[in-house]
Amino acid sequence: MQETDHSNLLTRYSSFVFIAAAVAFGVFLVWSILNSDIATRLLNRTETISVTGTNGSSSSSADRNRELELVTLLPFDAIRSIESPVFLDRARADQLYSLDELVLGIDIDGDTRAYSVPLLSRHEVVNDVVGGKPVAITW
Amino acid sequence: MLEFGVSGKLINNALVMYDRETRSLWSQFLSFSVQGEFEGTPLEPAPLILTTWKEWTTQHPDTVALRKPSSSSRDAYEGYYASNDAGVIGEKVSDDRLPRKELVLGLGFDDGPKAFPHSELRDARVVNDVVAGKKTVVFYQTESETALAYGREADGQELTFSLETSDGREWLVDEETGSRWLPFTGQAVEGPLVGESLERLHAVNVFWFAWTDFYPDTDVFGIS
Repeated sequence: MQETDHSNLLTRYSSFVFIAAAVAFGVFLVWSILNSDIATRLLNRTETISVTGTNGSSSSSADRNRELELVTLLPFDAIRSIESPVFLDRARADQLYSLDELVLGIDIDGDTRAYSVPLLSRHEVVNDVVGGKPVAITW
Repeated sequence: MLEFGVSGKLINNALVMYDRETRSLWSQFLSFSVQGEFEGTPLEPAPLILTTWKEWTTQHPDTVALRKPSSSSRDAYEGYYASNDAGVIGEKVSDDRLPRKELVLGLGFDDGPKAFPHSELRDARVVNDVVAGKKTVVFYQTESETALAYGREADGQELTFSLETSDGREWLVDEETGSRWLPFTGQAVEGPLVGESLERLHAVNVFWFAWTDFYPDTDVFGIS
């Protein structure tokens, strides 16, 4: 009896191991697909959109119609924008920024801020308020 | 007030954002919404300067800077900047007036696009021009590779600028009044026009292929 119980336990134990291994393998499979260019291909959709509008910088109010190709590569927020930026004073920043590091600099009514371009490459958008004005710093 | 996120979509290889309120899509390059509730709504460009930390802190000693997780200044796209690849999806228009990854300062946009190649600006340093009907001066600082554009009118008169160097500093000087202007802010600090400011013009530093994908019939400074 004891022996049988023992082997039942082993069978049950090994099936747990098997299930765990299968789950781990499944997770690995999904992870590798998401990281491969199969996902890129799955998500790489191109649609042509017809848009009427004009640049924010345009002095003429004449809207222009144009056909644009909108390519989808990733889902929303796969690249995380920054919503609550934290700033360092000059002395602290000098320790982290190298002299030849590219920055985007903004000055609105004396509120001057710099954004590291290498960091912007990872986040692409920083939502901020500069000189009381809501701005999106984009790269 | 809208909050923007990254949509994972591109138009001509350039960022498309979405707003979290309506999930409308916004083109970074065109600065207006291209799809959704806000379609056609423009964003007002806020003038930014693309420069080095060294130059920025020279101009603005009291600046603050976005917190970084480490002192690494490695850019994930370094390899891409150096390569000849045209974005993720390739270029639409191939325009051999310039190498495709040549950096240009793009001006004028829908009103009359004109590209100022950094390679040309390196020699010219200051260009007095008319872009999209607007009297324009382009300034280029060689060391930091900074390119900026201003309207060249102040106090109701047209101005023509040249570069002057003294005490290791650079100034824009106008021929008409001899006033001295700070190239990074466009403010007159000496001479009859002291206190006047030049209007910063909306401009983008982009690769040539990206500019021509949006504006295939663009003018180019220095190339006929």
